[in-house]
Amino acid sequence: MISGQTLASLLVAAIVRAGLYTLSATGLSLIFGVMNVPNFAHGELYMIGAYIAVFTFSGLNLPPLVAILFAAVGGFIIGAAIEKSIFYPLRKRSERRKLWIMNTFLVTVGLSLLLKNLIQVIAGTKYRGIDHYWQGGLDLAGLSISVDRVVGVGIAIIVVIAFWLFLQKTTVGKAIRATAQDEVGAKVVGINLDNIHTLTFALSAMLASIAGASLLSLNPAYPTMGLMPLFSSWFVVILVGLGNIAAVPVGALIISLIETFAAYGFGSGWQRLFSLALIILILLFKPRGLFGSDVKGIWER
Amino acid sequence: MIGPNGAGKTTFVNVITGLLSPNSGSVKLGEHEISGLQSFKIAKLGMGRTFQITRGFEQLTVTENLLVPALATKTTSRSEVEKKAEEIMDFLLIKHLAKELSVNLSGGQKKLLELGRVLMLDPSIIVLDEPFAGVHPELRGDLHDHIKELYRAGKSFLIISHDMDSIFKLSERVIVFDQGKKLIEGPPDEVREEEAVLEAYLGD
Amino acid sequence: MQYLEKIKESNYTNPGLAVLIALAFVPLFISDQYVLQLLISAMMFGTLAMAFDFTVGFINVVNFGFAAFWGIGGYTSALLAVNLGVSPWLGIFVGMAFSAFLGFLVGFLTLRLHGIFAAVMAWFTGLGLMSIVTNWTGLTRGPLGLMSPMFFATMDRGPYFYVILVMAAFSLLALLAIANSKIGLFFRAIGQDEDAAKASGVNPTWYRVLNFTVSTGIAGLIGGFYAHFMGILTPSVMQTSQTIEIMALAYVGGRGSIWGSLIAALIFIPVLTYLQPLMELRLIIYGLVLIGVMIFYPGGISALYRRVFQVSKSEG
Ligand SMILES: Nc1ncnc2c1ncn2[C@@H]1O[C@H](COP(=O)(O)OP(=O)(O)O)[C@@H](O)[C@H]1O
Ligand SMILES: [Mg+2]
Repeated sequence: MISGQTLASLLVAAIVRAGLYTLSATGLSLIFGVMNVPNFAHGELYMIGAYIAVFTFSGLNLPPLVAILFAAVGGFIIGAAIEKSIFYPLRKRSERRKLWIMNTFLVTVGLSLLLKNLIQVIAGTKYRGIDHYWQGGLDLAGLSISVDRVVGVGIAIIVVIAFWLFLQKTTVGKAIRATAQDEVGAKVVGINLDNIHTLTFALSAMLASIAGASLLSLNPAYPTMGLMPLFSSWFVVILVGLGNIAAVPVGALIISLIETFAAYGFGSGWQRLFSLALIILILLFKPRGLFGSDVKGIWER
Repeated sequence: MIGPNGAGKTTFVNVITGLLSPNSGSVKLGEHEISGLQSFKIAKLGMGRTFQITRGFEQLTVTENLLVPALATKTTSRSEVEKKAEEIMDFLLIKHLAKELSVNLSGGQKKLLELGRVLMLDPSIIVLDEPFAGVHPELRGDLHDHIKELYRAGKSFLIISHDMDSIFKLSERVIVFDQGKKLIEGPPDEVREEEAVLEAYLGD
Repeated sequence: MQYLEKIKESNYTNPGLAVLIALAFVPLFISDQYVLQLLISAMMFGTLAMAFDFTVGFINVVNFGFAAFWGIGGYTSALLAVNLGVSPWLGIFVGMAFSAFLGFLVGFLTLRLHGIFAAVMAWFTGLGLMSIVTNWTGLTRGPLGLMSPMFFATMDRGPYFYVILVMAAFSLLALLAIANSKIGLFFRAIGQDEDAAKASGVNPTWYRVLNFTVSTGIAGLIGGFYAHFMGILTPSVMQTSQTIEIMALAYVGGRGSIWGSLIAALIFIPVLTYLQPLMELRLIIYGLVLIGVMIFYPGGISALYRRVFQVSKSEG
């Protein structure tokens, strides 16, 4: 039997994990929905955030929140640059929309290689971590949790809600959603698709970058650190349905609960097999995901 | 078969050719019960179909396109199959395109090629989903001629179309379909009379 | 006309085979072990990329878990040798069969999926296999690495060179023979429009599963070679990054040509390994090449060849 104490700490661990999965998976789902790009380089955007944060926090000795802010802005700028230099020309050149999805997937595979190894050239393979952003721990139901974790989850929740409000309430956010639903229609009503695509990719990079920066004390920065968040983001997004942004937090919670409890029950290392098995079953029996989404037709090409 | 947009004509075709399985009811081809059979088996049993939006193997040549159905369903020798492909290209007047990749064909040529693939199955019944939509009037005449000639040669046809003229010109029996149901069935003349009554209702 | 006959003829005038025949003479003139090592590596990756192309270039499914099958073949043969004393010469075929069997199962899993869904399914089953190999340390020793007996007692690279040369030639001829038969035609039909293929009487289940079985079988065979050539195996051979390297070669070679992958490997692997001191640089080049090919020249090397030599698509 699991003791109450252990259960509580497992649940807290799962919630922390879920918050960060939500943050990184939201960006992945967003570029699925709007640009129809299945991004394999998403983990590298997370990695960029971690490097920017470690540089500003330990290198420049700036305060933690400033470091995370820098990561957000840096991620945004780098995301915009990537969109303009790679996806924009690709979009202009691909006459056959049919090939777009798999072609962009392969381009992002190349992009992932490129970013990972560029960082390695610049910063080497050394792990660059920090002990903590904020000292100390909090007492929660008799459980001591580091302030970093609490702030990390706090940031994730705030950013996701802010982003949600942005999509629902602002004109630009509405334009992004309109593009996701019907690109031709969006164009007809005068939305500049080029700008929307650049903005979407930049925002997605920003979200991933914030996730990487907030978690720095738990996961140090190193070139291939993006692999784990890449897997988990993909798990979440496939679980709830490609392009279904609204359901991402639920999916993140399901995956984190499975992984946390499987790691506890079967030893760490095996938890991956459990989430993989779940996703494989989903792909077999409900390829549109648990909550479905309308975009599957496009995705099959 | 005629009927307004969204009546369920294409869905009906997909059900009888095995692309969708029916929730209820059964489909028979001759004495064969074929409901729920996979579409490749139905094709082998002698029902060929075209698609409303022309489909095909874009990166294969016209000849290769034609070889696929014959090689997949027939046990005849390769040279016979190739001879047959030539005959069909002759018949459809696309012989000069034999080595062209089908992606490079015009819309009308693609329709002919699709019909050619169906013919390579040696089907007893041919289902055409909107064969005249978006086809140049001149080619439409050619298509009529092909269909009539094949009909004389003993093939049965089920033609789905919006084009009343073509339907009434070609058909022995006309079915009016709406909201997933058969409304009227009969010889063209009878249906044409009732058609006038239905016009207002169908709004087509 | 005679489309099928004509292609058959081209099996023997195929650029890939010509290059392999030329390579057979290399060890007679060059005894530099480093050069031989490079060429062995190139033929190994070239063969893997050909098998990858056999799936992506024909039935149009990206087997993103491909490297797992390579690893499974290697582990099977190595474990048989270590635990049961089975000769590597037999073990590699058992590894091939087991890998093909798993590929057969994954073929079923991906059956109803297309595009990114099929790729993700293959990716995740590959990761699952890797996860088992990594964590089942009692059997595989996990990341510590499994020592595997060598094919030959000698340190000379020459014998290994001929083993992989034979495997590459066998794979090239077998894959081309299938690709140019009516089976290959059905593969391409299914890859280009599955519904139209079904309406033409082609059974996609059978052909898709067959395709996966053959492709992963070859991956398993090459895995066996790798195990008894390197002498040590770690789960990292099954990583996604290995699949990516193989995939990059297949795309640069030109999808649907089979031989283009081999040529791409014979050009890229030696050049990039030469830059080995800068491992990152090698991968950066892979990344750039992959992006560049996808944006600017999706036809790859084989399309370039066809254009230069004016060979028609069905002949090249
Ligand atoms: N028998 C049916 N029951 C329920 N929905 C149907 C039925 N037949 C067709 N539909 C739906 O109606 C829509 C239009 O059908 P479709 O076959 O494309 O019409 P048509 O070819 O006559 O224009 C489709 O969304 C289809 O799913
Ligand atoms: Mg219709």
